[in-house]
Amino acid sequence: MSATLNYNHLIVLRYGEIALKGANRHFFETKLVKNLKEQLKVYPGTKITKEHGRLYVQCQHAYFEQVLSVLSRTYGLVSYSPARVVSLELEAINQAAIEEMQLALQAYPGLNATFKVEVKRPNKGFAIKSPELASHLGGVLLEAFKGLKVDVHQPEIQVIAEIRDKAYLFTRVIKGQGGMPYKTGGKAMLLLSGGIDSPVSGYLMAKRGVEIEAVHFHSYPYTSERAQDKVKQLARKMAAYTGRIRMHSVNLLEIQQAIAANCPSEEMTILSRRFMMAIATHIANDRACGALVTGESLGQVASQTMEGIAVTSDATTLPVLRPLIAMDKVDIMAIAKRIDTFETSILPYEDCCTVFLPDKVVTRPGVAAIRQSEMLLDVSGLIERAISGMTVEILKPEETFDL
Amino acid sequence: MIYLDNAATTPVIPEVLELVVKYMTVQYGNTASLHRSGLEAERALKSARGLMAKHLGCKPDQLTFTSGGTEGNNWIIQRLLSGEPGHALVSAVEHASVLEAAKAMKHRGWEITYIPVNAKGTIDIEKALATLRPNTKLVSVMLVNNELGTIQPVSMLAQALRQKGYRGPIHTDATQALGKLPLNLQSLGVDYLSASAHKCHGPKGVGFVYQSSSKALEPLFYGGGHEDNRRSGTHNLPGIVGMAKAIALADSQMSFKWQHAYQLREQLLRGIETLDGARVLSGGVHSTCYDPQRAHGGDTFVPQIIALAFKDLQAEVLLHTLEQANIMVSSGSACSSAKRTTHSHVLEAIGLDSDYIGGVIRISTSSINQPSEIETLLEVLRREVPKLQATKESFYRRGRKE
Repeated sequence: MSATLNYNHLIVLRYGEIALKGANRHFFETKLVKNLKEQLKVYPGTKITKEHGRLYVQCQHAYFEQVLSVLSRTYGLVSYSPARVVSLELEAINQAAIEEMQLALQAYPGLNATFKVEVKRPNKGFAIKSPELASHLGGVLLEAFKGLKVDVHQPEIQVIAEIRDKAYLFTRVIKGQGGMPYKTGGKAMLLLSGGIDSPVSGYLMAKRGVEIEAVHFHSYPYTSERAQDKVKQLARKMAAYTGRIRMHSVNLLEIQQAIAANCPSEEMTILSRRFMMAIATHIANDRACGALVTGESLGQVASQTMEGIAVTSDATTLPVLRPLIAMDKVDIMAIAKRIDTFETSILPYEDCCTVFLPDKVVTRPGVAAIRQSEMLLDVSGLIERAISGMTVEILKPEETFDL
Repeated sequence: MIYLDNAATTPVIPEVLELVVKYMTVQYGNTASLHRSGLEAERALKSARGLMAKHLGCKPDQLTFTSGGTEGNNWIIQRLLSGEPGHALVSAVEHASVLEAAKAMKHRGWEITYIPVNAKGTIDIEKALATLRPNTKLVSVMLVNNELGTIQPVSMLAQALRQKGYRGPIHTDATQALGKLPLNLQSLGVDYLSASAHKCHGPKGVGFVYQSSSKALEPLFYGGGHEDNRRSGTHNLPGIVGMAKAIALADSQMSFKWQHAYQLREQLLRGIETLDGARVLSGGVHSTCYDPQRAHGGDTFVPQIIALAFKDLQAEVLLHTLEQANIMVSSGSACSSAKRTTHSHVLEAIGLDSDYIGGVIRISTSSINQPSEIETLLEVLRREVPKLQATKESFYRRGRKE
C-alpha cells in the first residue's frame, strides 16, 4: 500500500566492459538485449529500449521488484538505477527530487549526508539550462531536508536529473553482476557434484559469457533419489542466472564396482574421476561444447593436487576450465552463499564420491601408473554403457511447484 | 443455505479438495520415509512451500507449517516472551489466541500494554510508540481485524517503531488478511507472521508461520525434528498441499475477488442505508474500503467483512432469526459467542454506544456469494429488524413501568 501504486517505472542500465569491445560491440549488445528480453518476457508490459548507448527498462509497478531481481542476476550489467519518471513541469521535478532523496537518505542515520545534483538536458526545448536547474533542485532539497550539505567533489548522494521527453530522476546506483552477456563466450560442460564448489565454478564461467550444460554422476541405488534432487536443485539455482540448464545424469555405479573389484583401493577416487572426465568429454563433444568446467581448487582434497589434476586432465582431449583453482575455501563459500547455492550444497546426502571412499587415497598419482591400473578395465565398454543409461533434463529457475 | 460467515471459516473449493483427497488416498507417503513414496511426499511438500513462497513474496525456508493460526500465535508469543520477564505491546483488538497467550505470559511476570484503537478499530500508532520501553520484547498487531475488517497499518507501525529505535521482534496475525489482501511478506516490515488456511477456502487444521530471519525460535513441539527442527510432528501433507493451492488461487484471482466482494459490499451498504437504527461499523458506501488501486493510510476496511450494529436489539436473537431464514452470519467473533453475557472486546475497544453494542452482527462474504443472496439478506433484515427492535422497546417500556 505504498503511495507509488501504478507508477510507471523506468530503470537505466549500464554495461561497461562490453562497450569496450570495438567491432564486436553490436554482437554483445544484441545478445544482452536478447537475454534480458528472454528473462523479462514473463512480466507483461515490460519494455526494453536502446538510446544513446544506454539501455532502459520500463515496467509496470506490479512487476517492479521482480524486474529488479532479474537485473540483479543478468550477466553483463555493470550497474543500474531505478528512476522516477515525471512530466516536464518544474513542480513535478521538484517533488520527484524530494521523493528520491527521501529514499536515498534512509541509508544515512540522522538523515545527514552530503549531496550534489547533476543535470543532463538532451531535450533543449526545456527552458531551464542544466546549471540553473541543478542549483534550483539543490535549493529545493536543502529546503526540504535540514541534514543535507552540498559537496560537489565527493558527494555521498548524487541526484541525477535527465531532461528528455520526460524528466528522469535517480539517486540509487545498484551494482550489477558485471561480466559478459550470457552465451557470448562459447559453450562448456560443467561437472556438477552436490558440493559447494562446482555450482560456484559454473556460475563464474557463465559470468564470463560461457553457456553452461551440466553432467552429474550418481551411484543409485548406493545413492538416493534425494541426492539427485539436491543436484537438480543446485542446477535450478544456477539457472536463476543462466535462464536454463541442460543436465545430464549418469550412473557411475558399474564403473565404481569394476574399479573396486580390479584396481588398488587407494586409486578408487582418481580412477573414478578419470572416468567422469572421459564420459563428460563424450557428452561434451556430442553437445558441441568446447571445454569442460570443474570445481577443482588446488590442494583442497587429495585428488586435487597438481599430480591429481595431471592425471584427470590426461583423461580428456578438451581444455579443462578451473575457475576456482587458486581460490580459498572461505572465498568459494562466500560466493556460494551470495548465489544461494550454499544451503542446498550442505544438505546431508551422500554423493557418489563419498560412498566408495577408501581408507587411504593416493595423493601423488603418476599418469603412467594410473593408466596401467585403468588397463585392467574394459574402459570403452564401461563408458559406453554408462552413457547409454544417461538421463537428460532441462532445468529452469522457476520450479513448477507441481502438486 | 446462504452462508455469510466466511470470516469464521470457508468451504473447501473443488480444486483444493481434489488435491487433499489425492494426498490422503494416493500420495499418502510420510515425508520422512527414505523410500520413493517418502521422497514423493517430500517433493510435494517442497512444491507446496515453493508455491506459497512465490505467492506470499518470501523465501521458501522462511515458512514453517503449523496446525493453524492459534498454534502460530502461541508459538511466537510463548517463545518470544521467555527468559527474564519484560514488556510486550499487543493491540486491544487481537484475536483470542494472541490475547490469551499474552495473558498467560502476564501470569509469568510479563507486563502487557494494549494498544488502543479509534472508533474504526485502527490502532493508535502514536500511543504505541509512547508506550515503548527499553525492555519491550515484542510488538504484535494483527493485519486485518476479524470482527470489523479494519486493515491495521502494520507497515507504517513497523517503520515508526524502527525509526524510534525499537529493535525487537514485530509480529502480525494475518489470519484474516490471507486471501483478502495481496501480501508481500518480505516488504511488510514484520519479523513474524502467522496465518491459517481455512479462511481462504483451504482445509482446517493447517497454517503457517513466516519468519524473516533465520534466527532459531525455540519450538513449541519437540519430536522428530520436522521443519528443520522448528516444528516436529508428521507433516499434514494433504492439508499443506491444500493450503498452498488455496493461497495460490486466492492470490492469482485477487483482483477479481476484490471486485466481487466490493460489489457485494456496496449492495449491502446501500440496502442498510434505508434501515432505521442500523449503523455500519466497517466504513461507509464508497469511502474507506480497501482499493488495490489506491494508497491507504488507515481507517480502511477489507470489503469482505462488514460489521453492522442495530440499535435496541440483541445480536444473538437476530442471528437466530436469520438462521430461521437459512442465512448464516455471526455475532462478533465466533470464538467468543459462547460467552453470551459479555460483549466482544473489539466492540468495547472501539467505544461503541451502549444502545448499539449488544446488536452487532458480522456479514462476511467470499467469492462464492451471489448478489441474490445479499438481496435475500436485506429483505429479511428489512422485515425482521423493526420487529425485533419493537419487541425490545416494548419490553423495556414495560420494565420501566413496573
